[in-house]
Amino acid sequence: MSAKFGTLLGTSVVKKQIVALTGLIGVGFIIGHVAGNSLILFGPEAINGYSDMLHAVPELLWIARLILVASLVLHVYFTILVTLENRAARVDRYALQANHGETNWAKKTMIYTGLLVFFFILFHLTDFTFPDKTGPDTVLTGSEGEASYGLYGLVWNSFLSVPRSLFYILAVCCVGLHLSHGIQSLFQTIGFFHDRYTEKIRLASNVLGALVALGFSLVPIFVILRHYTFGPDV
Amino acid sequence: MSTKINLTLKVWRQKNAQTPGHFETYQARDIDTDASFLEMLDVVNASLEREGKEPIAFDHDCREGICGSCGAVVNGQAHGPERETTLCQLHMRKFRNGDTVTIEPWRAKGFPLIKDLVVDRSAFDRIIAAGGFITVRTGQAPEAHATPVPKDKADWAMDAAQCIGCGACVAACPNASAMLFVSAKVTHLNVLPQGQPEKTRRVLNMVAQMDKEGFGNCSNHYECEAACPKGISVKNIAKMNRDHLVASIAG
Amino acid sequence: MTSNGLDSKTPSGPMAEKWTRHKFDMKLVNPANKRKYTVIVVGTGLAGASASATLSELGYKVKTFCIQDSPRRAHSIAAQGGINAAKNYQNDGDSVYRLFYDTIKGGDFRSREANVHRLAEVSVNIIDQCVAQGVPFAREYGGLLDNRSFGGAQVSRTFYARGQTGQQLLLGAYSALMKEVTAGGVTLFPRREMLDLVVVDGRARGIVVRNLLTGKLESHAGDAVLLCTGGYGNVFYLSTNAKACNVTAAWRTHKKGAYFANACYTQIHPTCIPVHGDYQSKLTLMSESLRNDGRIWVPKNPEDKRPPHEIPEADRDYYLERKYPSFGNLAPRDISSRSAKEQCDAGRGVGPTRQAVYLDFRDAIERLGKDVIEARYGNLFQMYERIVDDDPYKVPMMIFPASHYAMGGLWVDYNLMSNLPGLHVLGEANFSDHGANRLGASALMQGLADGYFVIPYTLSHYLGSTKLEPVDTNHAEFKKAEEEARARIDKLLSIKGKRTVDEFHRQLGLLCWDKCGMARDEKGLKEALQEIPAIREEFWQNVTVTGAGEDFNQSLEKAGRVADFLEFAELLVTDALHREESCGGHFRVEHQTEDGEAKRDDEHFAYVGAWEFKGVDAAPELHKEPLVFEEVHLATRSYK
Ligand SMILES: Cc1cc2nc3c(=O)[nH]c(=O)nc-3n(C[C@H](O)[C@H](O)[C@H](O)COP(=O)(O)OP(=O)(O)OC[C@H]3O[C@@H](n4cnc5c(N)ncnc54)[C@H](O)[C@@H]3O)c2cc1C
Ligand code: HEM
Ligand code: HEM
Ligand code: SF4
Ligand code: F3S
Ligand code: FES
Repeated sequence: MSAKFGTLLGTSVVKKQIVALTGLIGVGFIIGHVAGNSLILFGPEAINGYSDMLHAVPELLWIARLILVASLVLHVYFTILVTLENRAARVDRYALQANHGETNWAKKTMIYTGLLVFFFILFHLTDFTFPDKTGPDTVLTGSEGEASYGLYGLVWNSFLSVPRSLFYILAVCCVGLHLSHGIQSLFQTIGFFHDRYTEKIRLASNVLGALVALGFSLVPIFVILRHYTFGPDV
Repeated sequence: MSTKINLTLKVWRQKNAQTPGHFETYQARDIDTDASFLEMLDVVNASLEREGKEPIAFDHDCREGICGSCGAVVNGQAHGPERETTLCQLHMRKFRNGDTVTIEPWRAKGFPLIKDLVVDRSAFDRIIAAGGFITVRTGQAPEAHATPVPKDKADWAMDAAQCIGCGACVAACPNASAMLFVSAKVTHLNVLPQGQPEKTRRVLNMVAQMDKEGFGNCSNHYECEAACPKGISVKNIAKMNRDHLVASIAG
Repeated sequence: MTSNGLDSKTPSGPMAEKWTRHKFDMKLVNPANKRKYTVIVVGTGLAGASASATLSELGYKVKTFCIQDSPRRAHSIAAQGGINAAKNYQNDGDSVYRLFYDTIKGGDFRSREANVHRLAEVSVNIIDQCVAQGVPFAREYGGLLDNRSFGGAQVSRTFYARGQTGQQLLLGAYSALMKEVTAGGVTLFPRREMLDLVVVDGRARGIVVRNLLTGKLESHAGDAVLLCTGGYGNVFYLSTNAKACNVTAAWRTHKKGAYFANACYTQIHPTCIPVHGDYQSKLTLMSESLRNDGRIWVPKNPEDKRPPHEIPEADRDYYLERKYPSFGNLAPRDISSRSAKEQCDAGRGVGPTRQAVYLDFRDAIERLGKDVIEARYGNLFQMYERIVDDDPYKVPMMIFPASHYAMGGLWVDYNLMSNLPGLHVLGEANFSDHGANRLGASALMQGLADGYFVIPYTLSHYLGSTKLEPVDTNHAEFKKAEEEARARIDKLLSIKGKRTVDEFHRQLGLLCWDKCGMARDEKGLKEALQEIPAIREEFWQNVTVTGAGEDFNQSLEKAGRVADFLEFAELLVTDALHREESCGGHFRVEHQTEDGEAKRDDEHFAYVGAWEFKGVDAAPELHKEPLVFEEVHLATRSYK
């Protein structure tokens, strides 16, 4: 059994299916995350309440985190492996690149958008997940009594830095691009093809990718616009 | 109406796998626009031979788009710019007087180069040998009408079975993956009732052999389908992925 | 039935029982002994692939050779229309006997009855076998197999897989072959060209091949040799055959003693895309099925320069409908080809070269609508448009006959063995089943019948009843054959002349086409007999072959094949000259009825003409196998 499992892990199709399934978990998380994030637009209570809810049962949170970390590690490991194998499979490059116009930028840059997202995530965790949610970083300058605005304050403060916001926007665009191909691709990889629905899935994938990029971008844009047009106050 | 055109060809010349290759420039003069691409190469070759030079080696046989022998990457596209067309069925009227045409062989680790535009595609035969058949010995067959085959299944099998084994899918795939070729055969046999008993074994063995041959993985670029002279659909890749998933869980 | 030592070994007994009885009478080889026999199969078309697979299943050690890089690419892949079988699924009165009768009549009563009957008998097994292999034949909505009708038959018995029947049948046989490669019974040798047969003690015991990748010569010894190397239609240079089709294997075995039969029976297919210019390298067949709805015509007046759609009905000559009112545009291949030539010879040909006739769908489109025509012939119209750049929905197609199939081939007896013991010949390479004219959809049937269902029995009979001494490739005969092959290659490379191989081939082809094509006469044939040796001589003085012998060298490959065509062409013409009658694909202008129909001479020519090689510049010797008709009555073919 284990020998067979080992052999199966080595096959191209299985490797890609692991990428697809781990990617699917990521997609699920991201969609939830982008939806959760939108609560920021509704003020501190909404988002902080949401965050508290997530942290309410730590066991569940840790199980979820474990699954996410495992998925990410597997996803990254296999995508890098697969990418290296793919480069090796085309020993010599064409003088003129073969192309019939089916592949596109999103498809060709999966490894780059992916890697960027990976480093973004590391950075991102130090931004919001690890810091103290009641500390000085959560205090909005100029707010009454220097009170902590919790997670809300943390996010607000960090996006006041324009370069950081721009970096976030770049990163989430990469996520969007990654998913615009990733979502349709995963259906094909796990073997779902339907004469009618596949066209729709391809469309939905592009739309979702764009929505994810837009949805995430909304937060830093919102913070900056609010801050620099209405002043620092909430 | 046919006219005559002149072209500049940049052709990959390579004596054998051990010797490094390079591009050589030739002038193709007075090419009739009704000629096929291979006939254009014939004309160039004839003039090379008259000068005592070795002609450009390229595989070909039927010259009507069915044997799968021919193929080269023309201006960056496998089998050239026309959709669903083999190189032998590509006509010179698709080019304009004065064009420069770059001609390269299929480039893939799974297709080692033999000479000039000729590559070794025997990997495809080994993949078929790994499971691209139904085990029935001569004389064992039941009466043909004993098993009706629903028309949609029969049609799908036929769509997939049209693959001519030319290798353009590999040539065009950014990953030099052979998924389209392999999936065409797996699907052809796996959708038919006759192919059911060996369904699991077939997909596992053929994919394993494909990997052994050094082809890349499929990232769903769909360039293969666009380059395929027979319009083999990537739907077959999905079908093979599904069969493989089921086989690896159940088998 | 012996004449000059030519024994067809046809079993006795009633026609319908001959094969069954013969199968029982033949010797078997014990399963444990089969492993000890090595069978050499040259060719991986329908005949070679099916034979290799089946023999390996039975336990023989099989070595299989082909020119292409993969066995799947053999010329059989190109067959479009379909394969006949007497299944009578349509309930339209078909039967083994009717298929047998149609084939005999279609062949203009020049084939061996017993072979044809056997062919019709096993046709039904072929379909079963192919379906079990997964060949995706066309089906009806009920899931059962569909049939279509084909020229020369009044029943629907043709099984098809879109327009790619040959491809699907070959891929079926190829997959069976690859299954046996995996099982270990077959060793494949692709990119090998057979250059000679090795005969030891009067028996075929091996071959010499050139490894086309390395250029090295290799010898292979075995207990029997099966030649499945296809037809010689490329002697005409332009033909519907694939470029690698050749006569080399057959011709070399002929030079080693195998008789060549009925060389003059060549089939010219009426519906091909006409020649465009002198760069043309091959011709493309348009399926015969187009004649179901297309009408063939030429302008009545040779001076008529108007575009086709401006020519009014009154100025058109629908010559087939006029001459053959009951079959019309569906007249058999030989008849429609010849009629097209007549029109062009009379100056009424159309198109830039004036070597074409119109095939017009205007009326069919009016009657049935464009959609129906598109559904029926869409892919063919597309193919035509791609090649010719004309839209056949608007402008009539132009067609012209082209060399297509060789009914003649190496002589074999009922067991498919040539007069050289141990040498068996299958498929188009033999002369056996189609007489002077082949009906559509019957070559595929024959190739598979020979390979799947005949040779497995008859080969064991040969091996089981013959004492064979062990022979290996160190034997002097192998060395000699290798030496000869090497000398020839060296000679070709040393000439370093001025003209390319293709130029010679084209010259020879044109000559054969003019003088020994659709119509032949004594004067032309005699001229050809003068001219061919002259071309051959010039070839050996003035051909240019570049590159090295021990290397991948396509010029050299071609040169070897053309050199053999240059010898073979003389036999083709000699056979045509000697056959003072018209039958099937062989039309002698001197022998026609008043209204221009072929006139057979059963009294003097009801025989198979099998030629024995006597030297390149010597006249071959004729051996006759009389054709005895037990079952059908000789009649004049009429399609009026
Ligand atoms: C365009 C076209 C359409 C046709 N359509 C039909 C149809 O619809 N129905 C029908 O019944 N028939 C059809 N035919 C005829 C039929 O396809 C052929 O007669 C038949 O396929 C011949 O099969 P084969 O096995 O005898 O030889 P082939 O398929 O010709 O195979 C010959 C094999 O021998 C090998 N070979 C040859 N010489 C050598 C050598 N010297 N050394 C090593 N190997 C060698 C080749 O590599 C090849 O593998 C068609 C023919 C053409 C040209
Ligand atoms: C949260 C983050 C991520 C999500 C949601 C995600 C999602 C996906 C999905 C759904 C696919 C498609 C799988 C398929 O084709 O079947 C995919 C492919 C891919 N991902 Fe990610 N991914 C993420 C992060 C990453 C990271 C960090 C990398 C970096 C190494 C990466 C690299 C790739 C690559 C290279 C592919 C293409 C693999 C191939 O088809 O060959 N991804 N991703
Ligand atoms: C503008 C965009 C984003 C904002 C404002 C944002 C905000 C946040 C916040 C506030 C948290 C902390 C939640 C908590 O601890 O309760 C968080 C966690 C996290 N975010 Fe984001 N995020 C953004 C984009 C992304 C993207 C694009 C990804 C992935 C590709 C991502 C992945 C994560 C992960 C993995 C965590 C940790 C979850 C956990 O606690 O386990 N985020 N994000
Ligand atoms: S799938 Fe298409 S491109 Fe690939 S080998 Fe088959 S016919 Fe050629
Ligand atoms: S182009 Fe390549 S990546 Fe897959 S879909 Fe086709 S094999
Ligand atoms: S030569 Fe046969 S497909 Fe092009």
